[in-house]
Amino acid sequence: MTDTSNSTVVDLEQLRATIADVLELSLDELTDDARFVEDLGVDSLIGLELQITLEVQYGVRLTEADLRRATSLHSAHRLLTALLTETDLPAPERL
Amino acid sequence: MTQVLITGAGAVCCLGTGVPAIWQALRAAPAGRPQWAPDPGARMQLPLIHLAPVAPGPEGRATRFALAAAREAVADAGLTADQLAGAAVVVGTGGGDADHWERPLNPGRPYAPAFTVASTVASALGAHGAATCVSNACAAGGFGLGIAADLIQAGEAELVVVGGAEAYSRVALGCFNRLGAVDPYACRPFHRERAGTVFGEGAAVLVLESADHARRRGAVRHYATLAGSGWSCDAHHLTAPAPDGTQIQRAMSEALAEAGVPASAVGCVVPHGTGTPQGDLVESQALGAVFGDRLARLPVYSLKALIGHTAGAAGALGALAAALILDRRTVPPNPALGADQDPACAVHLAQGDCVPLTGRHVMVNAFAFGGNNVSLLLAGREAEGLVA
Amino acid sequence: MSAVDLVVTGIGVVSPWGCEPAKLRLDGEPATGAEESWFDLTAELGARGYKYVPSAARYLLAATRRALADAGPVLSGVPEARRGLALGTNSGIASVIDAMDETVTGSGADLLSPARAPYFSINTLAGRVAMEHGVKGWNLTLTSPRTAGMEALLAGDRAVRAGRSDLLLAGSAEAPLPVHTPGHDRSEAGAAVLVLEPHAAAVARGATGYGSCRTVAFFLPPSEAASPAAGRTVTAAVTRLLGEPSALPPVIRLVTDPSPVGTALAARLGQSGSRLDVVPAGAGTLQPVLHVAHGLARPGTVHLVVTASPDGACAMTLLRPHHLPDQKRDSV
Repeated sequence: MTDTSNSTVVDLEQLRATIADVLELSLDELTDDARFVEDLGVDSLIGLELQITLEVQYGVRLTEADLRRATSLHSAHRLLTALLTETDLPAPERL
Repeated sequence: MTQVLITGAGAVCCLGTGVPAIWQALRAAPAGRPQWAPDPGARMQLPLIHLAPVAPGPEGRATRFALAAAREAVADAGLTADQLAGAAVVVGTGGGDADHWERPLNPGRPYAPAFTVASTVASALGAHGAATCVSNACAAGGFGLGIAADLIQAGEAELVVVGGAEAYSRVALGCFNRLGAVDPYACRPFHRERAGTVFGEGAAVLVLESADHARRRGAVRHYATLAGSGWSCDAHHLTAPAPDGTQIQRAMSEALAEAGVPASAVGCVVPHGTGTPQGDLVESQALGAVFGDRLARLPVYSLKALIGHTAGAAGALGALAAALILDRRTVPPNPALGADQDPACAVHLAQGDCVPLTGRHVMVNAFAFGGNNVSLLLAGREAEGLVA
Repeated sequence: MSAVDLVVTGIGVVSPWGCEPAKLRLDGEPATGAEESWFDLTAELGARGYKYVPSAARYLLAATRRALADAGPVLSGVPEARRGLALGTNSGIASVIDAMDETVTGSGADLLSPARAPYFSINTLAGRVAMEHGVKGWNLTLTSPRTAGMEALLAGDRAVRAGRSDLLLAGSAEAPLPVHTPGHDRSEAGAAVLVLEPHAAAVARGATGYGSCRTVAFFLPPSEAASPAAGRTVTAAVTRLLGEPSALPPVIRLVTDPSPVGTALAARLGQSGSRLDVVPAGAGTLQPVLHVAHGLARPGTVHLVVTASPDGACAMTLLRPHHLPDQKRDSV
């Protein structure tokens, strides 16, 4: 498993600020583990907005499977880190 | 209640220009084949559209569709200039003359609002009643017809030239692409692999008049009556239908109630059915709630499979199809779907041949962004005891 | 037709001409410059939830909130399925469309903002308000040039009379045209919303209201706007509104421009002996509705508001304000 705590590829606080901006949340509210849909009320349109924002900002392409796994700041951070370090792990282990 | 007769009809869509040509094409039921928009500015993955034929002219494209359909409709009704002077005009259009808003912009053109479709039609006809442009997106034409019938019921007008018109809009298509709402193959309502809609261009215009007015001027025929409309709003989400379908069910029930007939009087439904996964499912379930077990054998005429989703014109083209079905007592075949029909959409889509209409009423649905829902109920002549 | 007489029990306005219906500075030029000088998003709607909502919808949401607050607790007495909303707008999303078109033709539709994408459709302005206030009866967006705000009053009234709802929210919302568009300098911005309910319902809940209004709409084909037939059309419209053509109120406010239609209508109304105040029209549907709102909130001499668009669309709204001796409304 990728150890994201050592990763500097994706700065967690920068990602928090980006996602909080898209979701109209304060930095405090966007905790590492708050779930986008269940806890923060993100609907399909805002979900798409988050996708395109992350794709543009990090230069990645996110699949639907990626998005289903990126359910919180924490998991989104792990996903982006994995994508940007081009970890060649099979998809289920990529997180 | 004043009887509201449909005494004239005109239309244009990808199947052709004019009601006779369109009816002939409907009977042949070719599966809809969209084309790539001939627009170098359409930088999107699926710039698919059913283009309709239109004469060149200085007006915007949607206005030219509306003018063609309106001129055909008033000629069909046999209206004179004097009679038209008293007419009101109502046109539904989601985007208006989008070509005037979108690039290439012409800085030399003086400012004109985008929604002059109804007023340009009124000018061309010399109509002095109110000229109202309705822009409830994909339900605009349906709401236009509802408003027109209410105008007559309220005594504000005796004669209304009403319809819907929609032209290609790069921005609308781009947004549907961005929202993942365009099917990569075709408009495939109720198909198990449907993946969104495909827009189509066109217009349909009907002449509505009170039975008194029609009698006084000696109107020679009418296709059907517009017997009721039901309006509702999901107030749920900007783009997605409310999953429970409560409000679209209410629109259908209120259209029946206004016409004063039970659901069992309906012999055919022209659904909204656009090919979006959720929309078709919710509508199928709501139809089940209204029509019960009879849904399994109630003919549903899936017009958009032939002409695409004509947005602000869709409710009007649906009403035109309903009026022709009642006039000819025939439901044209749906394009072949066979085993590809989504079992979760338990509607009866007759295929292969035309089938005789058995009921006396036809229902038309039009739903839209913003959860704007309208159902129309048209009645055949025999429902009036006036078999022609 | 059923005998449902609607009374205006709430008015909400946000506009560069002011935000208090009784104190709109409609005789002067609107506040120019940045929107921030007259619209405080956070104060009106709160700190969040409106990031992706375009200006016209923000204005409409704010005006609706103000109107409902002004009307008092009216929504609690009307089930969601019995609430209706009619909006008039011309340029509410013109700048949204223009920016989207720039994106699509430039970097491509993949870079459109998904959360903003629904607003390419002009009916999402009213749709957004319906979501916020549970307006499930029906929802209409009218776009006839210049007249659509007044037509919203007319179509809404007709829908209530037809039994489609028991409560009506009706008004106008506009946002500026793109800067490079001809007509940008005549852009309107802001929104005005009226709450209307049956007189009996207002009385039952102890609401006094501002009074009532009635609207007619008609069409003068530009090529024959000065013809005798057009004159008869105007006379017939006045008769429908007032019962007899000679009963025009002493002061008429006409929002229009020097087009053949505006000129012909001004000439007809000017023959009546009434004083005609001609107000230069903006590019949208808002100003006529602001005049209606102001005429009800601060009863004065203007009891008839008329508008005409160069394409031929015309509408008139007759105001029957309650005259409040204590001028309570002025102090609101």
